[in-house]
Amino acid sequence: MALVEIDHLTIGFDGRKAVSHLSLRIERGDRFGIIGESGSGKSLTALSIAGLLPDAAQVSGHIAFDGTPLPDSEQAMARLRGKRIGMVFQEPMTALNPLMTIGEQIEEAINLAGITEVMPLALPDLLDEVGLAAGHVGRFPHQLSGGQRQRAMIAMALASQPELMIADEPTSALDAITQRTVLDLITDICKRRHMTLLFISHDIRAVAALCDRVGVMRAGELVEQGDTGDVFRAPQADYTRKLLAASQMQRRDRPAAATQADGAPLLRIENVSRVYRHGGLWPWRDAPVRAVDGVSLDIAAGECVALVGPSGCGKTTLARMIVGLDDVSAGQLVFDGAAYRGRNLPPLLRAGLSLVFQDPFSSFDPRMTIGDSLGEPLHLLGRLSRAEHEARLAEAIEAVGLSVAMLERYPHEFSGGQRQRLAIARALVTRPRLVVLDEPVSALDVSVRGDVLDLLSRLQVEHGLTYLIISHDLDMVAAMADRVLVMEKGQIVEEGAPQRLFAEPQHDLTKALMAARLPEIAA
Amino acid sequence: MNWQQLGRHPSLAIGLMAATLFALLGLVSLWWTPFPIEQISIARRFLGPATEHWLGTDHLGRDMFSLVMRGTLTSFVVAGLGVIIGIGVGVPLGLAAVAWGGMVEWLVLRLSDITFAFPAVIVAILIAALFGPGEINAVIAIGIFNIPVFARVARGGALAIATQDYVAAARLAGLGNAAIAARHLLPNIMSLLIVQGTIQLSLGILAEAGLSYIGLGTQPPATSLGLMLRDAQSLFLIHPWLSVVPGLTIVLIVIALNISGDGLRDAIDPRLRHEGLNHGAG
Repeated sequence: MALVEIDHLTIGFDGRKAVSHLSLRIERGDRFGIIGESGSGKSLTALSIAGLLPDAAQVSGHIAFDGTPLPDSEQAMARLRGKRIGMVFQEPMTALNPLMTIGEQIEEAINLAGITEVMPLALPDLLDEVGLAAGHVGRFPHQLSGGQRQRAMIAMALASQPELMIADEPTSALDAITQRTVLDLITDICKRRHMTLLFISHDIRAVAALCDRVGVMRAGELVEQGDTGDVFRAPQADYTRKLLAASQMQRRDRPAAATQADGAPLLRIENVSRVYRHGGLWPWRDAPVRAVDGVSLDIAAGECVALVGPSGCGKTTLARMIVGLDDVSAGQLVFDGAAYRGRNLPPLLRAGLSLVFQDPFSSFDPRMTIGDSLGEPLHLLGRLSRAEHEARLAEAIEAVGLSVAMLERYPHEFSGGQRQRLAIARALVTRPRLVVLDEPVSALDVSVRGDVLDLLSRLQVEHGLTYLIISHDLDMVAAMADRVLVMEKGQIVEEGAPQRLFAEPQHDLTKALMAARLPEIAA
Repeated sequence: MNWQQLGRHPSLAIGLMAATLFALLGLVSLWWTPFPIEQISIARRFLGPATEHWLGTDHLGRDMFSLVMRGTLTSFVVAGLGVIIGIGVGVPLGLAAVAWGGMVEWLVLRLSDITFAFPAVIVAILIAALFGPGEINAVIAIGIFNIPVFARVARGGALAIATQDYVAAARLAGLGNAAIAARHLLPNIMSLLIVQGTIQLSLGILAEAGLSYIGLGTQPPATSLGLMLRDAQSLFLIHPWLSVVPGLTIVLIVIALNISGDGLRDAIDPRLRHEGLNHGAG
């Protein structure tokens, strides 16, 4: 008998269907993965199994857990959740209580599971199982790293020895190295405990590495399901094929002529440091944090340079100083022959530099039309005539493959991929020479990532742009960059062409990053 | 905000309707009241509600309904001007605190702390001691009391907006602090300010009634709801009706405004704007 059986599940909000007629079976001991993009209804499906759907949801269809339908009463459902289903959420920082130590929270989970008598044994066992040291018990969530928090979440989910563990994007808030260790941990635990897993992700590779059965969801429907090997070797649905193709990044080669190394670099970073002081009233209490520590590098015109490193290594701080959002503490930057220290970048020089933000959803003012947002950087060029202003906007929006009519519309009318195109259009409107791209595709769905990267490489050739890409996605970097810099703790520890660097990594961090790459899906 | 949304929040519709009704009643009193409010006729005093005098007459024989209409107008005007002063001074201060930060922010926060330390009544007593009692002084006292409230609300809202990437994008586009505050911060905290404005309006009406009651606000022959209460207090045991009418009017106006404020908060709260689909979807 299947552990979870869903029959014609439909979930709607205000008449709009978020999940429609979904049927699936998860056998005991399966590791079932659901792949889908944002808004495909995959999280709602998982929440409906745990009975955690928002109150506004209208649900029809049947869900059976271990042969019996889910109880109607909230109390019985809570007991089922506490004892037989464990959940791991996407963002461990918000899923853990910030005012309780993680030891207390894991104990609470053990208490709720009704196995208090074995508490003295259960807690150390759980910690050991998820790879946390006994010393972590007394710490609060903010004192742990993202990976450690997710381990604590997993320990809580395991406390009741559940038959089913639901993991909803458990690694998407983590950096590449931590992601791999957490995925390996989940695999180990499932194998050891013969536990059933429902794993939800947008990352097809993570699902391929972890699950033995997969379902592919799109717009609320399950378009395909089957054994992982079968589905990925011979996908039946067009959508699955598209996702598979998108997960394999091809190197985007540019004509060699595009890179012109003519002596003087476009951007020179000279021994730049950025120091943050904490402690407020007592500055001596905390040692200052050196977010960027003596970085020097040159970027030639027409180059595409990538800066990679784990989160917190200082790569975003460096980018903010380059574009003039933050001041250097020591050293200086030289752009196109003019030296600056950050925020004192003069307007005309500012026009030659631009930044594309990571999150396309927060990079546009929701109360301004796209045209107004796009036109904002044109202030830097002094007064332009109305015709010139509009010509510039039209040129920028057409360059990214969107139409002029969209300038009148508001940001909420666009999808994530379109917004990122618009963000690129805004970056191009002043005709800059250097564009800094901060994780340009990591907030986007897999299927549009390829399109945005194609657009970026086309624009680079057409407009003779120089790119500095900040990322922790090695596949994307390998596809785009001419030169890769690896950053750790504010310092650049290794540099080289991507092929060479990834083939023979020298530094420990580069090796760790390489080891954390999820295996390619055998086509 | 549109009519459809209004239908989804019935309490908001009721509150707004009642508040508008009272405001209109006050506004009409500028041109027409059933009886002139200055008309004293001792012979007709203490009449109960009847067809001629809907709410009866007071101890000087004035028509209560006319007094309530004019009193409502005074309350709305004094409280409204107080809110305008509060928004006009407080919001720029709050936005400046976020846009400039550092010393400016410290100064704004300490200033608002100091102002918070003096309740409106104390400020009103101070002003009355300096310039004598009157409506204008009540407006100034309530306005000063509103300034730190709006400064705090504007700062709180703007702090959340200032971390958004589009503010960084505006900085990249070379916009100065003032331009960022005006173009990006202010429009995005508008809904917060509208909600707070409604709540401050109801508090202002209460404050005006209080100030008039202790003799620091509106002075006769002009009238206000607080003044009517003051006139009626010595007669409360003999003619309770004279206190009930203005008292109930104040209560109804304040309830209407508070319901509207809460309703507006629900209706324009950004977390509820996507009709519940955004959490859990995907």
